[in-house]
Amino acid sequence: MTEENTDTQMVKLCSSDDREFEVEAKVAKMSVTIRNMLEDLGLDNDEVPNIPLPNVNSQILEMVINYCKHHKDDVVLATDDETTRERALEDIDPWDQKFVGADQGTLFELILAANYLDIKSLLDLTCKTVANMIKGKDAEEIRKTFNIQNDFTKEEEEQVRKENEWCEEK
Amino acid sequence: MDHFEILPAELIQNILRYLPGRDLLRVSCVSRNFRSVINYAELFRDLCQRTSRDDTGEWTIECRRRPPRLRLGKQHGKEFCSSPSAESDVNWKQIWTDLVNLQSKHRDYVYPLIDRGVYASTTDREDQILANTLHNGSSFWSSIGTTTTTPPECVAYKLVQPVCVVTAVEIFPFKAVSHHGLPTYGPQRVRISVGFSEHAWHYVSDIMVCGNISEAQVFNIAPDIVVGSHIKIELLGRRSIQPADGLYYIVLKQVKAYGIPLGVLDMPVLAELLLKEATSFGCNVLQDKAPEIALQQLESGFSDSLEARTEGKAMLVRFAAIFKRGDYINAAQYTGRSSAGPLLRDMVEYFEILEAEAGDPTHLQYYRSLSETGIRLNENESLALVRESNRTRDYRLLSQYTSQDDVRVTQNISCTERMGDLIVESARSERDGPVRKEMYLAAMRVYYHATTWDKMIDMLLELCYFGVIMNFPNGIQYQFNWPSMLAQVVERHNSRALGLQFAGIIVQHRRVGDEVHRTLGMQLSVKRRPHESWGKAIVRECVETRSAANDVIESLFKN
Repeated sequence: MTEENTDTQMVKLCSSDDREFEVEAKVAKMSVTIRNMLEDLGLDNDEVPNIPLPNVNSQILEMVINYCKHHKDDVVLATDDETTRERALEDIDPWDQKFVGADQGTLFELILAANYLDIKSLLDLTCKTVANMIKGKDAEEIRKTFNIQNDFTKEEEEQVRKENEWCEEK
Repeated sequence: MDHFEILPAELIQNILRYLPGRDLLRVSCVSRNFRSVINYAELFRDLCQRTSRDDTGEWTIECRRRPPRLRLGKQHGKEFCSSPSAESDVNWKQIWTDLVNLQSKHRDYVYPLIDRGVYASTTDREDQILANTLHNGSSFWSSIGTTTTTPPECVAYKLVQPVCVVTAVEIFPFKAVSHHGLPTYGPQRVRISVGFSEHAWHYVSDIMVCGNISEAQVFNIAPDIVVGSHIKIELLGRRSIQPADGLYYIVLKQVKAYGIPLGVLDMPVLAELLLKEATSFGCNVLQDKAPEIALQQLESGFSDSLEARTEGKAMLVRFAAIFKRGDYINAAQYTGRSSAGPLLRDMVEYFEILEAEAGDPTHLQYYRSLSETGIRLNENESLALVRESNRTRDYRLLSQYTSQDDVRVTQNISCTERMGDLIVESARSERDGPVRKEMYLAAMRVYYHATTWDKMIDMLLELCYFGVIMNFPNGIQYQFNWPSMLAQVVERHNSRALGLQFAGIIVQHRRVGDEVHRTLGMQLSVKRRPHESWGKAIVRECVETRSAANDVIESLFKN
């Protein structure tokens, strides 16, 4: 079986809440996890393989599929890790920006899904987005943004503050 | 609900990888979770070793703001850190903090690094040797002449310490004012290498353009953090023809290198890491020694070489480093014993350092140690001593230095009116009687040595040392105003009894008898200012109780 064949073939992805999504193999295979599963299954043209994804619910899976459809033809540039990282926080393409613009809960679930499905570009995008939300904020603002409980005791907080005092000076 | 709770630690870590260091530090302050689950060491190590390439070699504001990078080795565009950086027990957060501090204090770290010239690829004439580039004079180093602009030249220098962080190199091309057309014989481009011998270079910079103007041009290695004991400067391409022979030359008037000898880098964690890196590049300073020992040896070695150089600014940075870590005894040794000490002790910045660290109860130790090195505190140091004593309310040292022993006073401090004023100012608000008395006494002695007689007498009145006033040395020319002094005693101490005592002493005193006759009588009868009526009243009392003074007083009032 040739590469083209496998790409145009359809696969069924089954979410944790038992919804099925039929997508092109090319789209599905942006996920390294799914690609490995398909390889393990040994594809046969006659049947549409069914991939159970018990860690992803249908709402998130639908979004992931949309993301993969949008990016399926992207040329993966062999950029060195560092340049991506340096530019990371400024350069996010508008479609992607809108894509991750949903509520925080969804965003964090997307991170989990991207990690589980092993879709590097999506993981980068979502992590960058959260990093952007942290950047430039002080501890209190970060707590507010993410609704994090300040669980330090008075003494601990004082100690922590002292340790990092100098970074606020300049 | 806190969404981070659903993420495993490695995913949170993955998010934080995108953050600059300052944000990372803030994140670690958010909650216990953020403090404990994250491997900050790894994140900070990545920050320290980032290897992005956008260095144009130009020194711009942006460049200074860019985060520093540990980029110890670089050749042919490939960069590397050697193995020790991979050690897991390195405190990367501290290293990163040090690097940022190093960069923000960059301006302070301008130790001149060049010790001597090692070689030059060519030398035109015997009197145009490389050693000429170490000083700012009329002399210079010149290459031989060539028919084209291409042949490169190269000069190399040894640095002051076996391990130095090299931050910048400064090149001053030579302009020949005696040649037709005033040509400047600068190179077109330069490339700087750093190494641990004159043959092996583990760091090679990018090629940087050198302007053909006769002024100091700075080529930065920073924000890369690079260590070495030698530097090599490749001079690539020639600019000017010497009119007399039609050949191209490269001529340099002066070359400097700036940075930080490891011995004075006051960041032990970073210093140790750099030392290990240096060792992996062939530096033999560490050998089998413990890093702390090797660093100590570097430190003491540097102080000596610095002394010989008497570079004020560098001395200052050195002094500040020792002083700020509270090592006052060594700081005093440094200023007191070194030949450049007097230079340092005259600098405004020196006093700023003394003042900046004020309020530390052990700070007075500095002045004590300084005196113990056998030098006398200069005027400003003496003032600083007073300020510090005032702040800490510890007057033991000051009392010791202002004791009865005049020789001791003049050996230890420089008394000025301002110094006395400062003590008095503080004494007035002092509640503790004995302490206050001690301060007035110190002020009195200071005024005495500053020959400020009126204020000295004021102190004596404050202290009710009437005997001393009456025995005021004959040689001192001072016009006493007895009634006014009497009045002051009564008013100041709110005590008739003291006034009476003083009046009695005045009128009974033989030496001032005549003077009292003249001045006191005149003052009382002619100029009747309000406070002088006090004096009059007291003198009356005196008349009533002391018959011996009777005649004198009576006769005074007849006038």
